[in-house]
Amino acid sequence: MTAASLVRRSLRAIRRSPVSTVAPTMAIVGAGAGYALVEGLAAGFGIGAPTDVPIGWDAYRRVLNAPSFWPSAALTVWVGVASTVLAVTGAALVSWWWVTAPGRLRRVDLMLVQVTVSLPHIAWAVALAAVASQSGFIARLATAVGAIDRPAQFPVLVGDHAGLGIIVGLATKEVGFVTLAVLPLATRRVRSALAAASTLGASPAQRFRWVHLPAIAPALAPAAAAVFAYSIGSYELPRTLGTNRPRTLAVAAFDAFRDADLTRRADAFAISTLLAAIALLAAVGAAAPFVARARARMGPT
Amino acid sequence: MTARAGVRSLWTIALGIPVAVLVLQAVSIRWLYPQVIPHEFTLHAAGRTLGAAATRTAFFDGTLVSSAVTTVALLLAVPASKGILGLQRRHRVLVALALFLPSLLPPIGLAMGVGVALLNFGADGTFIGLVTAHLVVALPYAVAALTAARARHDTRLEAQAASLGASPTQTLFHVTIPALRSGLAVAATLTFVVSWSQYLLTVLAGTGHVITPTMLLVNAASGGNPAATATMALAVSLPTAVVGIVVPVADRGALLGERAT
Repeated sequence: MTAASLVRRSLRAIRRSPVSTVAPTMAIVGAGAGYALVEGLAAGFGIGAPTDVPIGWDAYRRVLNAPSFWPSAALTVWVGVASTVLAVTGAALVSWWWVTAPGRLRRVDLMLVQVTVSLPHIAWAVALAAVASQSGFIARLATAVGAIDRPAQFPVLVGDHAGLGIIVGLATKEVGFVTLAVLPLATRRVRSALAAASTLGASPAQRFRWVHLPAIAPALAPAAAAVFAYSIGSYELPRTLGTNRPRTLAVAAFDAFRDADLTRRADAFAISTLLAAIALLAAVGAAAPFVARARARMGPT
Repeated sequence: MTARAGVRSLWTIALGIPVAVLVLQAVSIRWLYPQVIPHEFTLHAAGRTLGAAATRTAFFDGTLVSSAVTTVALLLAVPASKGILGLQRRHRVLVALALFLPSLLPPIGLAMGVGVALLNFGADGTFIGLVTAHLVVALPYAVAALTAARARHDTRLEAQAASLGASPTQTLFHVTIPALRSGLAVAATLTFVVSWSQYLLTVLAGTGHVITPTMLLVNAASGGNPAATATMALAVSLPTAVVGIVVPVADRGALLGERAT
């Protein structure tokens, strides 16, 4: 066999195999995200930095020793956990009500979810600020009915130190995302399982816990991991609905990245690598029960 | 009232009131506390915001970038979705994991990493670089939508067309595309909207050379002109309306889990 025919043959084999059709997508998405992750890791240690900085743990030491770090980290984790729990609980309940209610889902229901999901985060943040700030729409309604006299009496929901505005903003957006992820699993088969459970005397709470949740869990867990990663790492919404003291870590990383002092870039990457580590740990945690169950199903080898 | 109608009403209110307040803010002036409804209505601020040269350029550039992202995404996702269904199970899991990776990473780190990656390849600040950066996050949506659509339709049709003597091009245009019509509509709208809404990737990978409407809105949000900000927020949300109409209509069965079997 000549070299030319060997090349021709392998090219034909590659063209026929499904791998060739998937490869360009994998190259952009998988390699792009993977490269970004590795690049961030390296840049945090000062490798390939735009300025002459020593390679080592300097950036991590600076970041972790900054007095603003721990309040920011606490706020970030709190925002991430609270938004994720609210979004996941909301989606589990909404999908439950939708599956159990008689009749078919209407187009308008899907429209509401789709619009919620595809609204740009910054647009939603601007809208929420107009509604929930101390001189916003709700405060005006409260004034009109005589509940408060002046804006200062209205609770601080936008730019508050506990990140409530950020949590509300993220949770209300992401509940749509999670609902969309779990809806395809809330199928007819689940409906008949729910009906069977009901015939056997299961209470609604029991049906929710033992039929509905396990049915949607395979989509709920990865969606929760994605919402958590998004919540701790998003920028526009926390910047608009949050405060500067403390900032979320993502906002701190953005500011460090854009700092005129280029040595701060390494700090930005140190922060973003810490965030990525937290997010990936959460993803592993979300996947663990499924991996364990799959192993158990396969039995002892 | 059934639970479903309750969810529907609550969701409509939660979504509708903030959007309605934005509309009021966009078409009013001096809408000060404690006015519940503005006293003075004007389209002046809205007109000035939308008519500004910077806004028009941003809308043109943003549309160009997101259209390019959508086109490339569809060109890659149509064959990729077919390939994925042809893979062995464990390979398919690996591909799914890789496609899900960008969603599992915090956006700030992803954007900074992609930005520096483009810098290393000398593609920072270029149109192609920006489109590639957006593809990292937008392409998975196109692939997911088309894989779901393909899984629902009978792939034997393509084999049948081929066995009847149709060329690959004929099969593509006369069998595959018509069968995947709704999947393509869903993939295209989702990809467009994901690209359109990107802020971090556009700022950090585009390095300020391309200004999109979403970037203008983030800047406006930190300024002090409520009418201009509200106008931009509504204008930036326009593609959302398209998704809200196209996806539920095209993809009803898929989202309801009522798969054709």
